[in-house]
Amino acid sequence: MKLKNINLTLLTTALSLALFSCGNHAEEGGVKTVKFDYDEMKTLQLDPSALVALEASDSSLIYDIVEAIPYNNEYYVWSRDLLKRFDAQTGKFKGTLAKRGEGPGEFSMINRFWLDADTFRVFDGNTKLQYSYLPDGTFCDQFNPFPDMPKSGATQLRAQTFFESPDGNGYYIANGYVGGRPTPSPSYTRYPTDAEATIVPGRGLRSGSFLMDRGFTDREHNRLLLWEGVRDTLFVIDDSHEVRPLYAFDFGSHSLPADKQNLLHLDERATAFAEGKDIPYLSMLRYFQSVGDRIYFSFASASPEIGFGMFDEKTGKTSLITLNGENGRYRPAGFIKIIGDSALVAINDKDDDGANPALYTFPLSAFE
Amino acid sequence: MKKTLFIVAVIALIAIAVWQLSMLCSNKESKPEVAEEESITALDIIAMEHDAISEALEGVPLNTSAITITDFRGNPLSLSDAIGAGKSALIARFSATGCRPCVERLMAGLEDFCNSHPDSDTTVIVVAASVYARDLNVFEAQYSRKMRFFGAEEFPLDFGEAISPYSFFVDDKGVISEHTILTND
Repeated sequence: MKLKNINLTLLTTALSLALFSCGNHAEEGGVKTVKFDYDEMKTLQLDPSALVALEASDSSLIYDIVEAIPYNNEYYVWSRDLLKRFDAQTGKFKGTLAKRGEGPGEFSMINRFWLDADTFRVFDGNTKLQYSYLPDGTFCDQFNPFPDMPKSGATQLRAQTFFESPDGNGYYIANGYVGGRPTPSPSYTRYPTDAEATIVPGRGLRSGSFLMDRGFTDREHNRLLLWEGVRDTLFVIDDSHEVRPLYAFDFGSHSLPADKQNLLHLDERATAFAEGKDIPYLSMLRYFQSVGDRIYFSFASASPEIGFGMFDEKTGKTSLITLNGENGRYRPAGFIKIIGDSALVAINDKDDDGANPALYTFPLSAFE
Repeated sequence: MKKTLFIVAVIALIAIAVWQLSMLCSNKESKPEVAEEESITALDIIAMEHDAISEALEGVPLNTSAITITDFRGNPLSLSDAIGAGKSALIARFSATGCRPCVERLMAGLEDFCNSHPDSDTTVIVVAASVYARDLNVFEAQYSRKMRFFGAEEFPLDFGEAISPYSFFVDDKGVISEHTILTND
């Protein structure tokens, strides 16, 4: 599968309507447009002394941070196909949780990494196996959690990653693209524990992608929020068990034009995004989370700059912030995770190309 | 005396002529046999099938000193400098936006080569497109520093919309051999 071969399928009309909506928090066909004012973005001064610089040695070097799970005074960090442990206070490297390979307990790729009680779990979208590890890296077991995936026409669907169903009944699976057919592959499969798996209507893939779909199970609002790359729309699956666009994030003149967001292939959209350096365009990254009435997310701009956004679903309030330390030396790297009243984010050090990203915490009150 | 000097001068001239001729021959031998017009451009490559591409590139010289790549700090250098003077190289090319299984197979092949030729003088070089500069350092660490990673958005032999992954050897004179294209088959 090629990155460029990503999904876009239906709802282009609805998406266009949403993106072209003029009012703040306007609603059109069930899709709300949420406006953000980039010119009002606040810059939060970062305190370098509070950075947790993750140790960088040959055995502890990581790429960008996809997930960081605090556990027992350590950060368990997922970085592409790496799973590393670092001391949460000092950043000292504590070891590798599990690694890629073909031996026992070794995975071929990581499509999901999460903590389940006291057990860390990995879903490998290649082997379709779920692996479990104790916090010290001891391998527990592996199994195929989705042995009975349904077919779409004559094609067997394959799990790329999955999310817990907000009602607690099984999972929603983000399907991998199976390709080569004129009809789209269904984007999601519902896999309940008490019934047969079924295709989720509402959205389909016409081309594949390396960029994993990102989802957030929001039990408080009984919904699953979903994201697609370089499309500033949050999709939702709720009680209807259908996927539909929920929010179209509008960055005003900094929004990637709707016709560009509707391009079929992800790399076409990414290229269009990068071409807007002078504007610059803004686009939601894959990190977003719903907490109470608020949705937090990170965004990239082609300037290049990375920042964070907040949307209050109850009041309609929106806010954008970015971080800056030592005159641009320390800047956000994209990852954000809300923990309690704080945001945990990844920070890059411009002056040290050989360094790992650092982790940094700031209060959510910064969005006020 | 004059006659003797004349004879010595003639012999010297003949010796110089012979030496120059031998140097010329020597230079000709050290120069790649393939003429410039036999080189292949990226546009030529796009029109070819995979096997034809690899066959056509066999024996073609690559001007490695004219190819600029960057290290993980973003510093530019020539491919010939990365290879090292008088050394041969196994060069691999991929894009982070390209076919992932193909890249995985490519990297597995490079690892096999490194493991099976631990004492080889052949430098193993990966030139990646669409990657963050600092990631090149992580790549090298992941592969135990057995191969060197560089960045370049353009490379003379690229083809395919998202750069189909490929590898090839160059000898100490830059002549290409064993060009291989990794596919998803």
